[in-house]
Amino acid sequence: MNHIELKSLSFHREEHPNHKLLDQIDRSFSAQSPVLISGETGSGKTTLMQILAAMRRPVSGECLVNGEDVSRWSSGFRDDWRKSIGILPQSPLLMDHLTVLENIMLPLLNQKGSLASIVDRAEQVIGHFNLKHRQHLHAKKLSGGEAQRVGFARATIVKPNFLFLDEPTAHQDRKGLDLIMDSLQEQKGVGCMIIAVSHDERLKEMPFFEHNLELTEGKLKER
Amino acid sequence: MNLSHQKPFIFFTLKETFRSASQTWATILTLVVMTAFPGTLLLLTSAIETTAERLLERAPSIVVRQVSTYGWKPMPVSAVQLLEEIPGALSVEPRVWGLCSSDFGAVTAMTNLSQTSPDSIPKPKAGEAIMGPGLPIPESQTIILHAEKTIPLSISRSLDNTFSTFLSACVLIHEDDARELFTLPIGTCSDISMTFFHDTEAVAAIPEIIAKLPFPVQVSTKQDTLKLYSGNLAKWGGLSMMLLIPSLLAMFFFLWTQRKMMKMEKRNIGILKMLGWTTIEITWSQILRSLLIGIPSCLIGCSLAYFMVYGPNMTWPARFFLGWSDTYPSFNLVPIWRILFELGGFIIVPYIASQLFPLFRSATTDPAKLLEGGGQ
Repeated sequence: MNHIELKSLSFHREEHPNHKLLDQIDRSFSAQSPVLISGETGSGKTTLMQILAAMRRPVSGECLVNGEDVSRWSSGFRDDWRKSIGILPQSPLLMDHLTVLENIMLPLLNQKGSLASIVDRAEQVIGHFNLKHRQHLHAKKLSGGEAQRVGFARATIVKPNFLFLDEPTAHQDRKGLDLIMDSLQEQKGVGCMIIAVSHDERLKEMPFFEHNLELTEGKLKER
Repeated sequence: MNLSHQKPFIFFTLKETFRSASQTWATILTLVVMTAFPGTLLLLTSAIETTAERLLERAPSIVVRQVSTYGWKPMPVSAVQLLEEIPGALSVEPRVWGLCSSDFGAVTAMTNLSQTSPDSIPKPKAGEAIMGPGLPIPESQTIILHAEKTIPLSISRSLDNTFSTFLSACVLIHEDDARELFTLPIGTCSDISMTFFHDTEAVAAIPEIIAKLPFPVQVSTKQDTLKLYSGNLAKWGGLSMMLLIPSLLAMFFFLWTQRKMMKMEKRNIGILKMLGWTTIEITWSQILRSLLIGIPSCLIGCSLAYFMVYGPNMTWPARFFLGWSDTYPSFNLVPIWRILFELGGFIIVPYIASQLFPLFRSATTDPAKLLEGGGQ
């Protein structure tokens, strides 16, 4: 069973050593219980998400993923480990010169498998997120909500063990929200661990997230 | 390595290569020009070197010329008998020849007095000229040669390319015409050529040659001529090095544009790393992209250089690079591999390095920092 354990996890920016974004956080997360983290702007939610996704190293403490301290691994191992996780950053970070289909295929293009099978898989995911009519469009031509759904599709195409989502529903209407929640339900069903950070009040009301935490003054507290 | 597994990777690399078509074509064009320009000079230098070696193979071991205080002087043919007494001399022959001007620029007018020259080299009659393979035939079928005197000659024939470089820019004329043209009295010659079994014997014989002859002479060996060529080639080699300066400047331009594109590249590298691409995978993709652009560009540039040196009626590179204004022999083909390696080293390797530069700097940086536009 996938699980993450944070031990005395701290982080501050080099330029602001006295302002601790994350302050001695001790917390465990497991795959059965999706987690929603909220907090004010600048409270450190995105930083926490980046540390969990091995995109940034903590200043001190440990981030144990299935018992392994990923934060202490070398860059190469951390890059490789990210093959098995799904990340949706706050801004979807699509490659503008690639089409929707190509952007979604991106996490699989460096992995084993035929091009045809990758295209098939990407087209399935595109269909699920109602983007079929947009699949050959360049990413720069998408609306905010569409770009976010493309980012979400890209995060799930690898069938991840861990899914880290930063404001996954910020630009979504009700229909878009439902599509995303359906996908999250599916991911949870296959044992994927889900951690989302969001301001979205609609998510806070959803029973899907069994743990509803708030990040304030560098500490994670149950709401 | 299973190629079918690499197809998605190659697909992505091709997509990235032509991400910006205008930028890609501009890069290809720049690399082609940067390869073709110094390539032409390098090829020209090699071609001249090879051609010179071919020419010198048929040259005599030693050439003896009488000198006076004001320069060359016709020498008596009777000196041949004195020189035949030199041990090791296989042949001693008087030559009547000289440089003169014509409608085609400077040409060498020579007679075929040699008893040892191949029978296939024809002997013109008086009043006639036989043109070397490098010279054109005017419609009037006549050539006017200017030296000490001016003489018109009718062209009886033109030598084909089987006579090759040795006679390329020469006009073969009758001995009587040559004596008139250069005002050489009967019983004199322009110089005397000597052939020895081995070149070292020729060098050893020089003091004896000088001692034998009752007038001051200058003795030139084949080695002296080679040194003269080497000096010229060294000068051209230096010129080719100077032509590599623009290539280096172009490399700096590449590095500069790379620096300008750094922010965008960092973002893309950050996205790829976020999605689980390792530095090695990104590096391979980048190397493949550089090779996809660099190798065809280098080959096109080298082909252009080859065409400019060996292409039909391509005379301007020699005029432009070397300042040649006269007719010169057609060049012997030289292998292009050396040029390819030299140009590859000077152009393709720095180009690939400039492409990998931002990657090396980003290799150990966390994706979050790259996406923020930070990093080293």
